[in-house]
Amino acid sequence: MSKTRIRSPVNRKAEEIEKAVAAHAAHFLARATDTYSISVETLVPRIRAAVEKYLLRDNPAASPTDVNEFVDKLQADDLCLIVACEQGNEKAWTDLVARFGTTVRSAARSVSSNEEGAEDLAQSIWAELHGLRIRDDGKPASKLAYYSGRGSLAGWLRAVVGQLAVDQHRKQSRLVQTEDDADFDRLQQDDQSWSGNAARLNPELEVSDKRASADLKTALAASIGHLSDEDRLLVKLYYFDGLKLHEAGAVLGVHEATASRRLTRIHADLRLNVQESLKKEHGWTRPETERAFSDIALHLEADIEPMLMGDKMVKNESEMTG
Amino acid sequence: MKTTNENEMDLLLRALGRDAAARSATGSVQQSSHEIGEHLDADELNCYAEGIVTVAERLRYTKHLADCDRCRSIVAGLVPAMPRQREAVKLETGWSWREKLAALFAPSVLRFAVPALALTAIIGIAIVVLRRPQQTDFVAQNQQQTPGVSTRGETQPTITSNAPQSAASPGQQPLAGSKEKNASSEEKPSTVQSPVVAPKTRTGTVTTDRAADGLVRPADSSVAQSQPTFAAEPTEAAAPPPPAPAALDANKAVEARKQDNEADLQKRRDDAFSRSRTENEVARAGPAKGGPSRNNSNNLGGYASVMSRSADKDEKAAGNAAETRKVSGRLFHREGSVWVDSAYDSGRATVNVKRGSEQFRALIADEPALRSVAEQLGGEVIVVWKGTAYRIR
Repeated sequence: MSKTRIRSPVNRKAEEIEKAVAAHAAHFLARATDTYSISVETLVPRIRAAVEKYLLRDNPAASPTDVNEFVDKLQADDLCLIVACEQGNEKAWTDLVARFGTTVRSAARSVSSNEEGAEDLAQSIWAELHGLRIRDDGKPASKLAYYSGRGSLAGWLRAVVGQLAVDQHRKQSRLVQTEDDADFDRLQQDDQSWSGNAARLNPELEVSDKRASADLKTALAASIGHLSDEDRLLVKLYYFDGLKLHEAGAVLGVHEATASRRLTRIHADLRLNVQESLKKEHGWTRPETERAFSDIALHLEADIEPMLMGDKMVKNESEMTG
Repeated sequence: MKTTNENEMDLLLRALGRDAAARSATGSVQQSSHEIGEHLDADELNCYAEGIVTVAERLRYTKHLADCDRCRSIVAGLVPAMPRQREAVKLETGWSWREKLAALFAPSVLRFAVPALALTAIIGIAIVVLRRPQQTDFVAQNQQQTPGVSTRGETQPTITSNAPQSAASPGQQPLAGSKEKNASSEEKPSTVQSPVVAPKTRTGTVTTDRAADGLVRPADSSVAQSQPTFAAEPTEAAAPPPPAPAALDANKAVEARKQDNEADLQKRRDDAFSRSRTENEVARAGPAKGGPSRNNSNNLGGYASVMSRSADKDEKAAGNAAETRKVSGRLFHREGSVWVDSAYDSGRATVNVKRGSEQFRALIADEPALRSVAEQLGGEVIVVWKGTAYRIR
C-alpha cells in the first residue's frame, strides 16, 4: 500500500519561495556587469538567505511576486563580487581592494584619533573580511557572508569598520576603568553639579538640594524612557551622542526643521511627565517642581559658561601656538 | 515663559547627556543583551542608514537604536556619509501632497525662485517700455512723408489737413478712424483733433472754406451726404443751390455730368489710396528724412498727403463743374455750358438773341452793360435786363 506524503502549507510555501528564488537567480546574475564566473547554484543560497532575513521575517505570507520584486532590488554587481571573493576568486579580491580600499581607509580615519590607528583599523578590516577563523566546512569564517546585497557594498563596509572601531574602543575603555578611578571621581563630581551653589554654603540646604536634584534627574531619565522610540532616539542622538540637529534628522529620515519641532514638543512632554512623576512619587507641589527646574537650570547654565570659556581659551592657545 | 521652560529642559537634558556620555566612556554602564535585544549587524545598520527598510523593520531598528548606544553610534557615523542617497530613497518612496507643497515653498526653493521671478518681471516690463517708443516713432515716420503736400497745402492749409477725412469714401473710413486712434494715442490734442469732435468740425470747415472761395458744387454736397458721420452737421455754405424747375434739357445735361464727375472722382480716390499704400510701405522700409516734427500740423502721414492731393484735384474738378461769376453787378452761375443770371427764374420766357446778328448789335448799342456781359461770359448766357430775359447765344 503506497503512502501519499501530505505536505503542510508551510512546506508548500517554502517550496514556492525556493522555486521563485531559483527561477529569478538567473535573471539576477544576468543583471551583473561582471559575474566572476559564479554559477546560479552558488548564488541561490545567498539570495534565499536575504529573502528569509528581510522579506519573510515581517511578511511570512509573501508571494513569489514579492520575492521577485525583492530580488530585483538587490545589488547584483556588489553581491556577485562578494560571493566570488568568498569563493576565493583572486580577480574578485583584486577588484574589491581596488574599488573599496579608499572607502575602508576613509571610514577608518573618521573613527580613529590618528593616522596610525586608522591604518591599523583598515588592516584589521581586511583581515576580518578574509576570515581569520576556519569554519566547520573548512572555509574561512569571513564577514563577507553577512553581506546580503540589499544595501550598497560601500555602506556595508563602512558599517563593518564602525562596528570594529566601537568594539575596540569599548575593550580599551574597560581596561582603562580597572586601572584608573579618576573618571569615577569626575562622575561623582558631575552628580554634585546638579545641586545649586547655595547648597555648598549651607549643609542643610546642600542635603536638601542634592536630594531634590537626584529626584529630578531620576524622574527625567524615567520620562525619557517613556517617550516613543522615535522621540527617544532623537533625544539620544541630539543630547547624548552630540549630533547636530540636521544630522539627527538625517538618521531619522526627516528634515532639520521637523526634528527641531519634534524636540520642542518633546521638551514640553518631558516637563509635564517629570512634574507628574515628582508629584506622584515624592509629593512635590507644582511650585516646588517649577522652582527646582529653574534653580537647577540656572546652576547648570553657570557651570557651562566656565566650560565654554575654557574651551575657547584652549582653542585660542592652540591657534596662537600654531 | 514657554521659551524659558524650553531652555530649562534643554539645559537639563544636556546635563543628563553629559553624565551618560561620561558613564559610557568609562564603561561603567554595560547594556545587557536582554535589555536591548541583539545588536544589529552591519547589513541591517547599513540598510537603516541608507533608508531602504520597510516600515516594520524601521520600527524594530528604531526601538533598538533608541536603547543601544553601540549601534546608535555606528548609525550616527554612517548617515552623514550618505545624505544624497537617503534623499534619493525618500524621493522614490513618494511624497504626500502636503510634503510636495512644503517642498515647493521651502526657503531653499524660494531663495532662488523669487529673485528669478522678479528678474523675469523686470525684463518683461523693460521690453514693453522699450517697444512703446519705437511704435510711436513709426507713426511719426509716416507723417514725415508729406513735404510736398505741406508746401502745396500752404495756399489752403485747412483743406489740406482736413481734406482726407472729409473726402474719404465710406470704404476708407475705418482706415481713417484707425489713424485717428493712433493720433490720439500720442496724446497730442493740440496737434491732432479729437476723434469725436473732429469729423463734424472738419466737414464744416471744408465746406465753409470752399463756399467762401466760391468753389462749392453739388457734387461735394453729395459726397458729404453719403458719409453720415461727417455730414451730420450741415452748414449754409455747404447747401447746394436749388435746382431750376425750367430748362429740363439743361438739367439733364447737368445730371449726366454729375454722374460722370462722381465716377471720375471715385476712380481717382481708389488710385490715390493704392498710391498711398505703396508710399507707406516705402516709408516703412526706408529711414525718415528731413527730421520729424509732431507739432507741425502740415506734416501728416503719407496717406494723408496723398489724400490731400487727391482732394486738390477734386476741388479743381469741382471748380470746373460749378462756377459763379459776377459781371456788371449781376451774379451768374454756370449750369453746364450756360451762364444763367441769378435773377432769372426757370420757366420764364426768354428773348433769343444771336451774337453778331442785327438784333444783338442793336441791343448792345442800347444797353452797353449787356455788351460787357456778353463779352466777359462766353458761350450761351441768360441774362435778365430791365424785366426781360435775354438768351444770348
